[in-house]
Amino acid sequence: MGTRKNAAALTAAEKSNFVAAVKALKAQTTGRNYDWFVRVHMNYFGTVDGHNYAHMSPSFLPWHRQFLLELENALKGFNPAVDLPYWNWTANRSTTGAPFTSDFMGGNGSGGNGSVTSGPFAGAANWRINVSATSSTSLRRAMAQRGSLPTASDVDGVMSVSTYDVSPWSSASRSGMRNRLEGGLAPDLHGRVHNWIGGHMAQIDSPNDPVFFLHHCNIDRLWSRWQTSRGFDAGRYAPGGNVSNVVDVNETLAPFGTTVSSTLDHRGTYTYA
Amino acid sequence: MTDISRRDVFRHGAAAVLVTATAFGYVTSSSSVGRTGSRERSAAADPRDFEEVYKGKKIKGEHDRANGQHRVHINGRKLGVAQVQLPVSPTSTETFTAVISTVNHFEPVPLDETNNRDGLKKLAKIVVDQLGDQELTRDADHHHH
Ligand SMILES: [Cu+2]
Repeated sequence: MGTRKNAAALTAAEKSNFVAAVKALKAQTTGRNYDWFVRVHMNYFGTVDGHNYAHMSPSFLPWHRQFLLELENALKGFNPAVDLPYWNWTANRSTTGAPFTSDFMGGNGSGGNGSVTSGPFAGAANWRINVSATSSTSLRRAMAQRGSLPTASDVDGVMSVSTYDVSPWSSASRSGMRNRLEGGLAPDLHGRVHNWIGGHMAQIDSPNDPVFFLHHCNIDRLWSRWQTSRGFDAGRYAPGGNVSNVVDVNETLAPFGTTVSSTLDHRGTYTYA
Repeated sequence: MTDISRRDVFRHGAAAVLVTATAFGYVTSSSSVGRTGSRERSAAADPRDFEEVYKGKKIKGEHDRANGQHRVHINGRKLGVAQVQLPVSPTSTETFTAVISTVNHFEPVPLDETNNRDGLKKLAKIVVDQLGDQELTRDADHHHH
């Protein structure tokens, strides 16, 4: 069982192990390699088979939980000691501090809108972008130009919402924890962080930036925190069933083949430190 | 003709316009576009549509009031655009319409539903700002719906 730690608390060895495993997955030429994850995120942005599996729907949280778990398991195939770290952006709010240090995620794009210039993912020779809506072959960031980082009180406000989600189960849902967390409703804990990093993180191919997984790990941690106080059981997900074109609790999350209900209680697989 | 086949005809018309524009190196005037796909264009005419140069890139937007399948091209390359509904506020039952794209994926831009307003153009300009020296790729035209 894994323990997912705060990226700011990782040892030098934990950071280098994570980077090495991510690069090994990127270098893998067959099967579910790193670019497979990028492609899946692109393909599942919108409606697939009549369902919004990944975004603007209740299954945003379980879909990304499974997406992260599959990537983490792939990394463990290279080094079983690797766990996904999370970036707690309410505490680590600098473009140069953790996790944006040169021994981990690297820093901002050159000129504020160009290629990342420091760290292990700087430049196409170190980290080549192969699958993207835009033509750069090197990773780009444009930090702190758009979007903003949520505060601890923003997080507390979302955590205090007891209803998981409400009809119409979409970006238009005007109540519920999920839409406030995802971004259709203020304070939008998820979307604006993508925009704050900018570059590839603002795009449909956002997993091209490895910090995607640290951000979504934090989103997953917040869902877990919400579940810790309200329950990990199927009754704390909605809809419970019989809503067409919405992923109900017993429906399968494509393309993973697991049901929503099987993702809810993660504590036998990993916990958060 | 069903809605779907009408849309398909329409899409082919738009593609033909795009090929023409590319062949002429993006210097397509609005009259030559009109001649190329006159029937489809007139069916689509919307006063919010635009075709202009912004920061050195040609941006072109065509609204689809009936189906929300708006089309944006940047330097002749198609941008995947999706229309979404968002709540006006937690205390209101009203929603508003916004657009996102494959490049500004997490930043919905309100789409003004009255004539001569510029929501889709704002989206195109945000995308150009973000592109900088880049161009869109084939993967920018991601199928949303
Ligand atoms: Cu995200």
